[in-house]
Amino acid sequence: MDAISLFFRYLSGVPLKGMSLLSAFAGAMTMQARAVAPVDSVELGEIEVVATSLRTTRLGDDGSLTVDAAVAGRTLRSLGEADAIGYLKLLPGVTAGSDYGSGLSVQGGDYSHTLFRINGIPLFFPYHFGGIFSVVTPFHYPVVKLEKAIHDRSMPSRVGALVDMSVRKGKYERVCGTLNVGVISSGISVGVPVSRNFDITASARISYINDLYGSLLRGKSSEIRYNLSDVSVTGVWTPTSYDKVTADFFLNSDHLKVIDDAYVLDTEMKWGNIAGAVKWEHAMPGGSMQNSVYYSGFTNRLSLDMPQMGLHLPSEIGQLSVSGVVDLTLDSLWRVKAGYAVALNRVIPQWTDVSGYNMTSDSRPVKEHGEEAALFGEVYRKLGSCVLLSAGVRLTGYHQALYRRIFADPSVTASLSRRWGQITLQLASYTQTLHQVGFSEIGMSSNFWIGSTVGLPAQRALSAAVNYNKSFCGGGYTFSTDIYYKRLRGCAEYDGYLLGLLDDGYVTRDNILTGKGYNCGIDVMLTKNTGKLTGSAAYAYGIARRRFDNITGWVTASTELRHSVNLFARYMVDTHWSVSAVFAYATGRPVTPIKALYVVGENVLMDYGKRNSGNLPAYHRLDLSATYSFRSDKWLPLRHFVNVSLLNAYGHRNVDMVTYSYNVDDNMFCRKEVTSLYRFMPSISYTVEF
Amino acid sequence: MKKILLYLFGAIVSGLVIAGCDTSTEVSSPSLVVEGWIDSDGFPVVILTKTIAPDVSQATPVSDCLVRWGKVTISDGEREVVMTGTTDENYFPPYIYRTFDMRGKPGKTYHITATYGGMSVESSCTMPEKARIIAVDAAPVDGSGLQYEMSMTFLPVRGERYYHIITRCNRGRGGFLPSFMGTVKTDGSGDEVKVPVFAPKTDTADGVFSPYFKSGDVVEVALCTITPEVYDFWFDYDDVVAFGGNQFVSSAGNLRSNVTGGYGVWSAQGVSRYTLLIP
Repeated sequence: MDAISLFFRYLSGVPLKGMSLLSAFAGAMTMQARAVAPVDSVELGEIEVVATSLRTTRLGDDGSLTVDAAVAGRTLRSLGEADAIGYLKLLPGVTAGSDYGSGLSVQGGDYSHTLFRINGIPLFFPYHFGGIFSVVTPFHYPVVKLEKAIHDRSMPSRVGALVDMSVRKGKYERVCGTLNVGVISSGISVGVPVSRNFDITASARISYINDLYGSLLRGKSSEIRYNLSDVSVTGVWTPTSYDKVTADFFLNSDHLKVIDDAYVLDTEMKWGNIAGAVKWEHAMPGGSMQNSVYYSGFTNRLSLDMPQMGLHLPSEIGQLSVSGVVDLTLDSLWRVKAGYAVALNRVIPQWTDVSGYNMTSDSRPVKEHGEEAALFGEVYRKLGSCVLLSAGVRLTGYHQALYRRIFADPSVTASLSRRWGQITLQLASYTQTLHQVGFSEIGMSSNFWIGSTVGLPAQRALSAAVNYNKSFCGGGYTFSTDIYYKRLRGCAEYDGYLLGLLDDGYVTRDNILTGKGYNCGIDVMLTKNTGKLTGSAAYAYGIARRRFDNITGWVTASTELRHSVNLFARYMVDTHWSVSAVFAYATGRPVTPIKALYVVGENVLMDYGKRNSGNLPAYHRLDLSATYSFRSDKWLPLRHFVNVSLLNAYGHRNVDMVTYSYNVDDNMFCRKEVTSLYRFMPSISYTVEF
Repeated sequence: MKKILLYLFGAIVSGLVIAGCDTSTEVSSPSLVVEGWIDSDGFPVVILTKTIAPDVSQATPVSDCLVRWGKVTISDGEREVVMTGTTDENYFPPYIYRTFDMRGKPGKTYHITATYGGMSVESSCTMPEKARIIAVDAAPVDGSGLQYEMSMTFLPVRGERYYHIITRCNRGRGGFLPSFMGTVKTDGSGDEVKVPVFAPKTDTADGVFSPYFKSGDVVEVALCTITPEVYDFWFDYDDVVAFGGNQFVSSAGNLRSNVTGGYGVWSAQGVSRYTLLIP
């Protein structure tokens, strides 16, 4: 029975109470059907009608945006890999800060303010090396929803954006899947209907960088070795039409080694997430209930080996959580959403294991334990046909060592839906009890998580956000804008440096600055959804400032993106060919400017100015892509896609770092710009869907 | 309407161009830089230079940082001596200030003042006692047969925790240079300590850096007992030299300095020396 026939059976009075319509696509079209008749009337409930959407993105009433990553992945690719998170960078106010940036800064927030989830499980570092692509396979988790600033009270302990990646709803009717062969890795995703009420989706990806490109990654004095792999398994059991049990397992492993003879330094980094969850969803009259338990862990091992000296900086985090939520529509006017969440955190902040250099470290890592429990509730009230008001609160109790706090995070949200558009306003407070800090400004996995304690208080945010969106020309175009102001307290930044770790008096927490700040700005996006030519134009203006305990004064946050423009266009040439282009422009990343050069010990040293008071040169690049698709039905019905992408098509050298050195031949001090890897980065991939 | 759109487009492009300006450097007025030392039983040497503004041009000649006509005076609390500037190819940049009229003695405080072109810097440092080098050893690096890694065993001065290793090799320019990762912090107990001794890593060296010494090298190792303030400078210096170009970790940033009004380091240091011929 397909969704459309179910819908019409429902309208014709066939009892389907409690029946769950499993939608086939995340970009689902929701239709509210209400019949009001004076005599012998029957009030129809709310159902979902599902249809295949040609759009890759869809805007929610509250400004949230859902991307179909599998469809989007047929166009632009990095190194032959489709990446769900990568597409979010096309949105206004969303940036990775650098081509190497491993994280998403949304509306000026820190990387750690953005929560990434797969099927409801948080991932503490969802990236393969250098943020080139994420660990999440888009064919396994194709539904990617981004909430920038407006969240309901079920939003977990984070003060920024939410990126929710999930599997498609619906049951498999036959074995289906995707095989992708890219330039650096290959992956497979398979969906299997094991029985009438049990489906399994499994995905795996493995790279062959060392085998194919080993010689290319070997320079005059350096050599890079890198391998990645990830595995995802999701099982969905629907024992009754009211119940659904989902089990997830996720694992990724990355191993990077950089041998640099110029620095006589071998840098090795191994990182990985491991996560698992069981979730039970139950449909009941007028609503639904969901309970889940998950474990998510992340470990990182950074090793720096020099002759006669080794420095190893491991860190890890594990979170075990139980949570539940009930969502009930009481009548045509009232709706209630309430729930709980309990989480146990076990954190090993970065510690140092030193060997050589007159030191044999006998220190052992200190495991820190934190407990967090939250209760939340939100009441929704319709006023007339076009206004929806909601008010809620989230109470969070947190404990770590001597630090015990209860935080109350209230929210008030109003939505107005009129002919001239949909506008949503929210005033809300948010709390985050985990911090992420470290040596890297571009969010590498070596940046470690650490729990709030005395001296490093929980992060709080007071947020005011407005979203306005409107579709016009029969849905052919969508205009959306966000205006936001977020005041932050308890922001953290690492102030230590590597050799400082060798000091016998080194205490991690003593090297973390804490302070306050604010982010404000505006995001604007116009999207053309239909026709042969589709695309979007986005502009964002943002200010992000921080002040760390009177040490720094007010400074620009490293995540500030003052101006950015993203233009995306896709043209369907015919049924086989499509071409697309993305142009990105952004104000250069804030950096601490170099004030002066001087020489001591025959080395050029630099004196730096005020923190983040300068900017790198503006960032801009053009990416081009062409996809050829065709079908074959000889043995199996297959859809083939051959994608050719060229990142940074005009070869602009985007500067990532500015430094100075001495040129022996000319006897001159020279400016040296370290530029991105992305110069004419072509890739080709072949994908077959069955 | 078309005009308005054109103006709007022009305004946006101009705004973005202005917003996109490179401000990764900022101009600052020049300051004096001191790299100076006085060894126990040795004579003071000062390399006096000035800072270079980074965005004057893409390339700046080294001669721009030289200070040839500065006035450098050193005082031990009893006498004040004006140091004389002279060209010396053993150092980089090849111009130093020196005097043979004052010799370093442990326990004495040496005050230095340098002035040039309206700029002025000063610093004071009290010379600690020198430690005793017990042995310096060289062992071939695994497999190579040509490269040797060196280590030094020494007896620290009880109560003096901070040391700095400098080396001079017959292949080099002629002056002592800070050994790569050359700072050593002991527990102050005076118990015997063994540390690696690496070759200096400098921007002025040709080719790929090797921390090892070669067969046939004559290596002079000097162990300097230094004050905590001097140690802080060389410790930050080590961090910048070792990790300054590493994308994975941030380096120390601005170096802590014991020079007031400028940059660099002034060290009165107790020095023990040891010479080794690598086999």
